[in-house]
Amino acid sequence: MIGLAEFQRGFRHTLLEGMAEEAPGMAVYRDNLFGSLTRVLADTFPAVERLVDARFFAYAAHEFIGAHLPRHPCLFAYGRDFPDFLGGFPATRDLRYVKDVARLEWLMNEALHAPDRPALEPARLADIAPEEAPRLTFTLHPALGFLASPWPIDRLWRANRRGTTESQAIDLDGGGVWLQVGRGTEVELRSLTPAGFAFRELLSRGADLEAASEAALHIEPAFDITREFTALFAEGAVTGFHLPEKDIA
Amino acid sequence: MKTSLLIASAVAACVALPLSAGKSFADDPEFKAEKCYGVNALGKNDCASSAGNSCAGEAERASDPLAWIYVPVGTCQKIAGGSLDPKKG
Repeated sequence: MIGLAEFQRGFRHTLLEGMAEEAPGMAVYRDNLFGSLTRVLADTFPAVERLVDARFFAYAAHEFIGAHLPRHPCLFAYGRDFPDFLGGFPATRDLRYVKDVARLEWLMNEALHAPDRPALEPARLADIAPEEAPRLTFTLHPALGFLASPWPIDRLWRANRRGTTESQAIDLDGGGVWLQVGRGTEVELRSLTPAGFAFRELLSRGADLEAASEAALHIEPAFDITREFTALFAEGAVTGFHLPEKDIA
Repeated sequence: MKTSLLIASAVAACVALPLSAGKSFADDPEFKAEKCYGVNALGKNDCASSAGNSCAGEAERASDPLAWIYVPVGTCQKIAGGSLDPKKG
């Protein structure tokens, strides 16, 4: 009698590769696997499905699933590589905005499932000395995500949401966007200025306050650090801060 | 003005402002759950043992009296059509 591990390997192989004479019912398992994972992808990327149409989406999903089986038991984590896949997939490669709409939907999926963390109160910064302030780094709320695109993906997303019935013409040359995804009581999408985007996105990646401020000022010399920094706290976007260890001279 | 001075004054201004606590939640969201029958949206049941489907997401009809979802304790009785026990037919 074969062991469980060997049985599972054989089952998995037959499921994915097929066999000339396979046990009856394997097709049911196979259809169930691909069908349910396709539904997961359609639930996570509904605007993409509408943009490329349901039959094409099912075809692209089928190709993706065969090469990217779930590695994580939680299905809301499935599809992280789908945007990149669409970017390289021959049929969608020329529809370059599709990849960016997919990236946006992925950020929204992550925002939806992100843990919640309490906002840092500004008073906690009271003991920071002026010369230490530029070295401050921050942890932002786990639901926050940032995405810049040359395509008007916010309008593309809104026009293709589940439930939208009116058709709209969207000018693809309408200019780029700098977007923030977050979560209040529901997932939120905000458009930022290029400088505001640079400031927040750099902070979110662990850059210190000086690096983030200088990047923003470089893009927009009139960038108001006080206003933008204060706004971050008012929105509850900051959940922690850190100062590098001081050298004892 | 040097950036470092701008930054120092930004931090000071932030500390001084009478902001509310912002969007904070006291605890990580966690709830004691109860199974609630008859209130699922189409295809959105949690993993199922009741007749008619083999796993989560397979419910063929909305508000299937045999399909259930987890809801916070006390909520099921507030939902129209909800039942703590599987309903007949």
